[in-house]
Amino acid sequence: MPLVPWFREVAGADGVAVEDGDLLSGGAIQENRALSVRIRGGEHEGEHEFVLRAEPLSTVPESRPLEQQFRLIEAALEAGVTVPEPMWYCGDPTVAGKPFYIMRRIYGEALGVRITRMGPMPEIAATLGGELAHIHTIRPPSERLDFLEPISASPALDAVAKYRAYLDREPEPHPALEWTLRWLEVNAPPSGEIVLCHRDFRTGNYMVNDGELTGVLDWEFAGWGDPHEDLAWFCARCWRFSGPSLEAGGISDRKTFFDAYERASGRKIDLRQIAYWEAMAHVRWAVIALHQAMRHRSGREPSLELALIGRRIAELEYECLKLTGAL
Amino acid sequence: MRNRPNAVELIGIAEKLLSDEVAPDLTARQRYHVALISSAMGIARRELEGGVSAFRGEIEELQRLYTALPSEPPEAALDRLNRLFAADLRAGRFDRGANERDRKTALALLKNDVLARLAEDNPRYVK
Repeated sequence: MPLVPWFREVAGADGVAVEDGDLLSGGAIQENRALSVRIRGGEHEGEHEFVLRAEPLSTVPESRPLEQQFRLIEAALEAGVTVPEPMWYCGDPTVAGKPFYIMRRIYGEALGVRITRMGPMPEIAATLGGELAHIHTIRPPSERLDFLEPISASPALDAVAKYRAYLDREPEPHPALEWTLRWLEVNAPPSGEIVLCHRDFRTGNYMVNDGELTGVLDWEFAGWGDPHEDLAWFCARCWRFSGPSLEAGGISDRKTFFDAYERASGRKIDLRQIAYWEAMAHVRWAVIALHQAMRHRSGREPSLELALIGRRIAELEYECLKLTGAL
Repeated sequence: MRNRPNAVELIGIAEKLLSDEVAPDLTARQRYHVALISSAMGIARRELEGGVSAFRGEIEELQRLYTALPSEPPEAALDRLNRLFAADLRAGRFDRGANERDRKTALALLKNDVLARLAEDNPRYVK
């Protein structure tokens, strides 16, 4: 069934006109297309600006299937998180060539380099602290999120085992990452609260328009975990882009972000755990970077951009050594 | 014997031409791609200026912990000894409380290697 009749069916409409818009930049992983849709009849009658998000050609390991991303965004919306409104999911590949979902289009700037060039944005950092607190109100068990892998007694040791398994698949040894993973194993914190972690909550994955947050994006890595993991990921040096001295995402100091989170969540942040998960954050980015570089090295996707990611690993290892007291 | 300019000199002057003469006339997208190309050329030039590894003393330092084979070419030794080093790090051989001299050697090795690679890959990173 082609796209227009599909729209008519899911929207319960009498008539639908779809105008194909631009291909939107969705980072290296996803494929986003803007659509202008005019709906006649039914509860969605009117003009709509939507985004069609489809499964990309190649994915990063751990990237969730589209249907799960869609369910996560629905759950986030219900928990009060600012997200692009999820409309419909379609798993039938005959409609648009592959599975996709439709969400309402949001506007603004998401690119990390540009956002961090706008100067300090403490209000946005505080808003994001509150958003993260909303995400962390979602807790297991959750029937609608029953596809999320159950968490073991220690999310930290789970992560150590997972990243070691990734390193085992790499052709070269990586002593600095092994050092860090050993440190993370020995210093693993006792298991705390388990919440829904976004797992890519950082500058580059939210949209800002005229000084207002318009949406938290990119839910493909979300899963159960320790709340400190998200807080540390947001602050990690590798996500500060042009604002390395603004430690919360390159847009503000940490205190503004942490205070807003604590106020909204009622949870007390443990700064030692932040340092721990920050080291984990750099290991995680490093294993993703190794994977991205391999997409080029394997000859499957020759790309200078992917190739250069392979030479960013020293930066991440430098941060790892710093955080583990080896520098 | 090869003629001059050598590889490093050629890349250096090509980088200069790219940034001085080509980049200014380009669209934003093309400039982004030129920045990627310049970055790759810079890394390649600095790598060529160095030896088999970014950290010049890497093999010697590794040999304070492990034995290289007499017949082994340096590239093979680097790979093999780093594999041993990585496995021992994972197994906890250099944990606090282990042999203090080995731990010191291991830490110095990690630090010097990462700093040397960082100087090659992104010399402006540490300010």
